[in-house]
Amino acid sequence: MDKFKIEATKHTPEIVYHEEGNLLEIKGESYPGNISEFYEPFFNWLDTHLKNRGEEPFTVHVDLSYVNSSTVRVLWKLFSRLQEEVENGKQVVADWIYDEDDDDKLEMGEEFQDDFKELGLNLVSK
Amino acid sequence: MTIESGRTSSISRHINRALIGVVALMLIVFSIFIITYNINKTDRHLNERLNNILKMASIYVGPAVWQLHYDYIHKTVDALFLQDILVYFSIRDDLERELAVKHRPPYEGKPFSFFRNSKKFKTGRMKILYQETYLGTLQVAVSRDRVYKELAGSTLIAVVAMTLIITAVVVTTILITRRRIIFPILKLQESAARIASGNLETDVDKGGADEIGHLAKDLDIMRKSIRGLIHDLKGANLQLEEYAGTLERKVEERTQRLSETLKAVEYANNMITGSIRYAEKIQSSLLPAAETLDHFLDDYFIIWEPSDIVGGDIYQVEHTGRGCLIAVFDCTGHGIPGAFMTMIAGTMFKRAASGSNFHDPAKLLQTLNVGLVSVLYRDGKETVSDDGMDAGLCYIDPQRETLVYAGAKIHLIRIEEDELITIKGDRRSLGYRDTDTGYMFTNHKIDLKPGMRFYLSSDGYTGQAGGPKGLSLGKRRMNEKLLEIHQKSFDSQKADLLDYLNEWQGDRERQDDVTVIGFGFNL
Repeated sequence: MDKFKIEATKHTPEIVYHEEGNLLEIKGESYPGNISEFYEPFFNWLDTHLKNRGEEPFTVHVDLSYVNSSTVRVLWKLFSRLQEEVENGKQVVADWIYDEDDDDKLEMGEEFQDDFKELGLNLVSK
Repeated sequence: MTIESGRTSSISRHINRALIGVVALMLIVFSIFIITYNINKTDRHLNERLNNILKMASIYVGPAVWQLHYDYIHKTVDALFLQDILVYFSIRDDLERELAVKHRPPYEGKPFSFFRNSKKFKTGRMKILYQETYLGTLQVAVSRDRVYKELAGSTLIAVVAMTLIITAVVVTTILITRRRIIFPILKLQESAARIASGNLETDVDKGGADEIGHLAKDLDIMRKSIRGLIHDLKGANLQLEEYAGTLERKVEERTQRLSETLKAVEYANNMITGSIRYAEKIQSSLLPAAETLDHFLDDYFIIWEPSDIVGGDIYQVEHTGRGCLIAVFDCTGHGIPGAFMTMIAGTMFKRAASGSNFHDPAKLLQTLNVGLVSVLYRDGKETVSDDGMDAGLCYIDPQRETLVYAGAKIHLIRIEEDELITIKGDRRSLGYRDTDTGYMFTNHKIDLKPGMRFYLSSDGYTGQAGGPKGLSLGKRRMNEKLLEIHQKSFDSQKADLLDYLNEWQGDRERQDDVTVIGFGFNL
């Protein structure tokens, strides 16, 4: 399948797709100077990937220690796209990974869980 | 041609010493061999002659003794004494009486025992038998001296001859070695020294077809190879120098360009910083003046810290006869893009507040929502941007009896009698592309009591990453801090909150604009 990898920087997370396990990881901090410029290539890749995917479940791990409000909207867009998949009968596993000491991230996860009931977002503390 | 004497003598001296040593050893061994051999041989010879003398004597003397013919006995003895080695001769009868005795000078008068006990002589005895009758005994002594003299002479000749032969061989060997090995090696050494000193032009004397000749040829080939290599190296070096020169010029050019660019960047930076500083003035002018705040609020603090000079956070206070509006807006982005948004939001808020919805925060939020969408994505035009803001709005009536709160993703915190209550805003932002413009926000009404404390904050404070694990400060920690300090004066609370934030942040950078407003009423 199609490879994808963006290295982490101070303001942007690492985004990497592992063919093995059909797993996408988003990890780090996210407050890019230009949010749409940063995430545009990712969403282009995601669209292609979801269009061409097989029957294997698609797993997404979101492990962000800091997100600004623009990123929250990006995540909203991501989960919307994933929920569409679920609604189309495809298998998606989405994990929201947060530090056990980070209540705001848990709360944010709970809100997303609430907003995307069909997706069944898993809240995973570390 | 110069020859380094030290080395020259060194090789030949070694060879010579070795040769001379070997030759000396050979001579000694050989001499010992010859001497031993000759001594043995001479001894055997002497024995033979002694036996012959004894036999002859017994043959001639036997009948004379039988007849007691003394004259014949003496003549026989004299005849035997013609043998020059004979020095003593005696005849005794069977009663041990001396019948005849003769000495060769200078041994006159010496007894037989003298000769027997001396190494210089060899002695023999023989019985005189005649017709199987024992007549007496013969005693004879012969001198070894003469034989030894002969022996010494022949040995000397042999040794001298050997010495001469071996010396001749050694000298020839040394001469051949010098001529065929030492000199060619010296020449080679000289050539090698020339090569070592850097002279690669002179040919190596190639000499004969022997091993040294081959060595010389190889050395010459090596000289040529080195000459070739050095030639190549010089070429490469020249090229390198040329490159280095070019590189240096390029570096100079680049440095020049870089410093020009740096100047341009500095200039641009100054311009931009200047612009931002001025933008800060404009943004600040949008903020309410201190007098406005003092006029209505009894006690309050305001923390407003954009992460870059200007930012996307803004607060507003509108005070009229209809009461007071306190608002916090957190626009997408920070820095200049955020500041642009705050200008739009601030202007729009002032216009909305001047209308009939002054006392209705939920309506004001809806008005702002619609307004922003219509301004930002005018005529449904396909614009790239997707911007909006979060907001928190408090309305307090002129009698200060009630507070009405409506929020768009911003919560109001109320502390009353050590209890903290979060009055949640709606989970809707304002002005984004996909916003539902018909959405009705919720008003929360609170009856004001003395000692109540209110806090309104953008997400910059709780969102700041820091602490040991680099986590967000978070609502829980902020709430705990507020509970801890809410009874202090608002000035102290402001200082405590900022200290706490900075301590949490540590060495990390400020990630977002921070706005916190705290206020209370004495009533």
